[in-house]
Amino acid sequence: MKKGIFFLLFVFMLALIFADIFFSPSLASNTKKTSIPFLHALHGDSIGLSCEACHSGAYTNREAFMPSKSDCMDCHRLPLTESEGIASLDSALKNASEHPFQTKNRLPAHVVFHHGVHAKANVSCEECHSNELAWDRGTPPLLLMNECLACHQGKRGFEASATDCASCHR
Amino acid sequence: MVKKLFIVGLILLIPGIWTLFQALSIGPASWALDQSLFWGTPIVNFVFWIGLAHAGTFLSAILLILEVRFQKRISLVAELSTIAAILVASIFPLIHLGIVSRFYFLIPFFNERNIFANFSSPLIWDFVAIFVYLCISIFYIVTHLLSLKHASLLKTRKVLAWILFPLVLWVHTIVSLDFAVTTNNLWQGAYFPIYFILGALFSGLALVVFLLEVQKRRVRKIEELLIAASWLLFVFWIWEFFQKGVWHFEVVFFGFVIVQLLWIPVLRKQKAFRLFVSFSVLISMWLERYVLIIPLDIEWLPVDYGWFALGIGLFLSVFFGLYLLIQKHNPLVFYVSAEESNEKYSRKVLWGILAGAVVFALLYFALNYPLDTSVPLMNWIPVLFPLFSLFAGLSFFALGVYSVVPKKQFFLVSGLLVLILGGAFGAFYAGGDTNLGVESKIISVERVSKNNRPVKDLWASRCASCHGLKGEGNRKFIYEFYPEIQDLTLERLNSQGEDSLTQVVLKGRAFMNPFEGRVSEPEARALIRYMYQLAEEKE
Amino acid sequence: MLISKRTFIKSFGALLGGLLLFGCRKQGEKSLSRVRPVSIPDIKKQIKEAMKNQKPLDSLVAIPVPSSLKAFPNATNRFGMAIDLDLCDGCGECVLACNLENNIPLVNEYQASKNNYMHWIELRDQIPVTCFHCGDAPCEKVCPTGAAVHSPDGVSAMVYARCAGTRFCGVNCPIKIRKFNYVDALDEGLQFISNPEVPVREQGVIEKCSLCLHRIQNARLKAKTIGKEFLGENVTTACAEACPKGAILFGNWLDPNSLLYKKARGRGVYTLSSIAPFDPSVVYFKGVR
Repeated sequence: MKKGIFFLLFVFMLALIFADIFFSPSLASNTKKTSIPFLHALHGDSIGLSCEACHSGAYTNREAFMPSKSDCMDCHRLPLTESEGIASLDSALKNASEHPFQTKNRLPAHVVFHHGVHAKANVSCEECHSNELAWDRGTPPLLLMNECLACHQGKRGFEASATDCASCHR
Repeated sequence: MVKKLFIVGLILLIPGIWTLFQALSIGPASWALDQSLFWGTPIVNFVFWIGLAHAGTFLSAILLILEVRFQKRISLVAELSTIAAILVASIFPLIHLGIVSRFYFLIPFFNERNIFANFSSPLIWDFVAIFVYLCISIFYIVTHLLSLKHASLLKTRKVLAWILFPLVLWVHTIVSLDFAVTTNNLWQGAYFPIYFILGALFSGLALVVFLLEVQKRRVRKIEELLIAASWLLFVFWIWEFFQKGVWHFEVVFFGFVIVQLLWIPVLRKQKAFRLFVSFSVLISMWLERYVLIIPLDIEWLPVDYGWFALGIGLFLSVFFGLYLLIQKHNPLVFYVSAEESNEKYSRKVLWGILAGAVVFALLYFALNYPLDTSVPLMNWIPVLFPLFSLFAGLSFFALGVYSVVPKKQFFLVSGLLVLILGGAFGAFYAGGDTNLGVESKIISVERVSKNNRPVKDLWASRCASCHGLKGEGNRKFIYEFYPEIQDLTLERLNSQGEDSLTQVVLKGRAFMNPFEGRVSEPEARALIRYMYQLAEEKE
Repeated sequence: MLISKRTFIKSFGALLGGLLLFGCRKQGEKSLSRVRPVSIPDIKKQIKEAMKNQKPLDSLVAIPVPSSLKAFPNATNRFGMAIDLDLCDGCGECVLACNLENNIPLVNEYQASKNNYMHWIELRDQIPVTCFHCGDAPCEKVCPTGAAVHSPDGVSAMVYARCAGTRFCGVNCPIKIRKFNYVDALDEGLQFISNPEVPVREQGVIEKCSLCLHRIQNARLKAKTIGKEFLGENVTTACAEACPKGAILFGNWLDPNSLLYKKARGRGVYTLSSIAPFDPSVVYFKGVR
């Protein structure tokens, strides 16, 4: 009898966990492929750039925005390294369209997320967007409601913030 | 007769399934509703069928507890009708949802998004109570069927009857609260639960009369109960007339006047007349719910008529299908009912339940009297009892069945059940992907806005990558590849002048790219003024 | 066993299949190709038809000026509106502005024939009636899923993604101002998107006046990025903006500097008799007190 109950409990938990994994919201990345090979790892702190340098709204605006070709060219007018790939990079940049980087907004239409407010509250980009290496692998941002809520409820080391529905949903 | 009715049920299911298909594909617009009448005929049918479902168990379980003698003659039919009616009833609220696939939002179960169902809504109580009621009704009838072979299960059956007795009253009370808690004057009143329970009992008795006639049997006591119930309801109707001015002649005619004809022995002996009375009661009860929920004249659509085919067809085919199935295994089951156990059930159980009720009542008043009714715990109470019943019923049922069924079979079936239950809850917990709504927009570059952006932010995002946040130059980057930046001094700025520097920002110079299109002219000017500010700060 | 193992397995197979169907339901985004171009004459036509068949209005009763909410006694904001009946002439401009601001779909001919328009503002006896954002809202109490909730700002909000369409809120609204999306407006080409800020509602959810929640949210986020406390400055609703007579005022009942607060001084404050017990945030001004 005891064994049987444990067996049933085991089956229940197994089904619960598998179903949860199967039905969990997916985090599909939707950044469009561009012809320009870009690595976040080379453009970050090592050369003293903040995220804002390319994502011009990241600290102040609702959307973070993507850089335009001119933004790249501000620095890339001169060949910046002696490594071999630079020639192909330069030609790719030359042939690129004016808006080479575009991303589909994965935020559902009924959710408001303001990058600026979060930056103002000293939440670093990495809290949701993980790290530079992950971006280059194409890891999408954490857009799950329970992740938002955990932080807003004060469980992630930040001050607790609004948890009423109408502050983020419309 | 049974087979004929089964076939009638199957035939009725054809338009029934068409109705279901229409309702699901078109949505609530397919039946008569508008922007001021949000609950239509599906809710009428739901209340009607759930009433029938309650009466079946009520008759079986309560009569078993009271040890009424004719109980064993009607119990199995009543229990079967409960199962069939509850299946029919549970379809209507589901179809009625605007978005049917979101039905699981109504389950008070944790989910990944940390949203919990709203416990002050009677619909949540409803969902839990009806689910529990369905489960225990299934336990009850399975125990009944198993007890035909294994007499030891009679004890379990009685325990389940004790659990069902208050549960039936509870569930129908909750159904009545769906209406009684609203702001609609016609639905308000503390009498509503009893009114609903009586209505359910009344229609259930009529259904049992019909089902017994199908078996070519007759139980006089049921007819007497029918007359008694009609008088009780009549009192309510009179009272409602004086209180609210509500009077529906057709309801009273079918539900009261015609039932009184049963007093006449000549008529009572006619089978056709008894059937006529039972149908008349069912019609009256349906109309009563209809005029309650839909006070206005509305134009019916085909789907509104289709509910009848769906409800009756499904009920007949499930009821008689199960009937035939059971009869095949045990041909005499409906005629020679199980011997009731002679042992008096332990008084301890009775006292335990009484004590529980007293504790509960005390708790209720303790919570209700000094505090506001919106106390969260108060709102839990309606579901706590059903959940407790589910737990108790499941334990007794499992223990009872475990003792008589081969172990392997028991664990196979319960394992499967548990697998599905776990899977369902896992799926409900995760909830699936969020609907993104209309095609999401593409995020690209920042547009130059008409409203000037704060200059400090603009400097930080547009200039600081080369010129540094304070104008000191980004040492990590610029010095390695580009010629050194001039020192930021007031003297140097003054020598160039604001106008020409603004043009540098917009048109570019030497190693600096033009920012025209990315920065507006007033913004460029503001940036230059910001440079003055930075230079001042530096000195 | 009387119910054979086979029947058991079969029925549970069916259940499992049902669950799988639940998992595979369509959850993707809808294409924009069905969006109807904004046509103001079309919208105006339906507004006119709705104004021809006005529903009756309850009597007006005087109430005190709205003060802080019972549920959020410490909140600094309680947004609301006042409609000045001395100025309002029932022209219907507010309805048009609201439709355009909130992407309120047109209705098909059948629904139009039954007078089932989606307009969030209705004229009843020439008086604009909209959701009153009751502080003690009956609709929120009965919503089983928690889609209808009150924000601490005093807005009775709808979370469309949480709405399962039980329509209990609509049943419990004393003035029946909540609107149910009976048809798939996108599929039928009745949906226009004049304001990308407001999400398009799907078929099967309830909607109603949100007090231009998106405007409040945007202004609050902007204020917070600068580091200012938000008391509802520089925000107004679309209807208030559009009213040619300036009869509609939006403001914060708890902020003494708010125009709404100032204008309420000395005015007679009224609401519909059926709404009066529920502490409305949207009120009527009429005459002097």
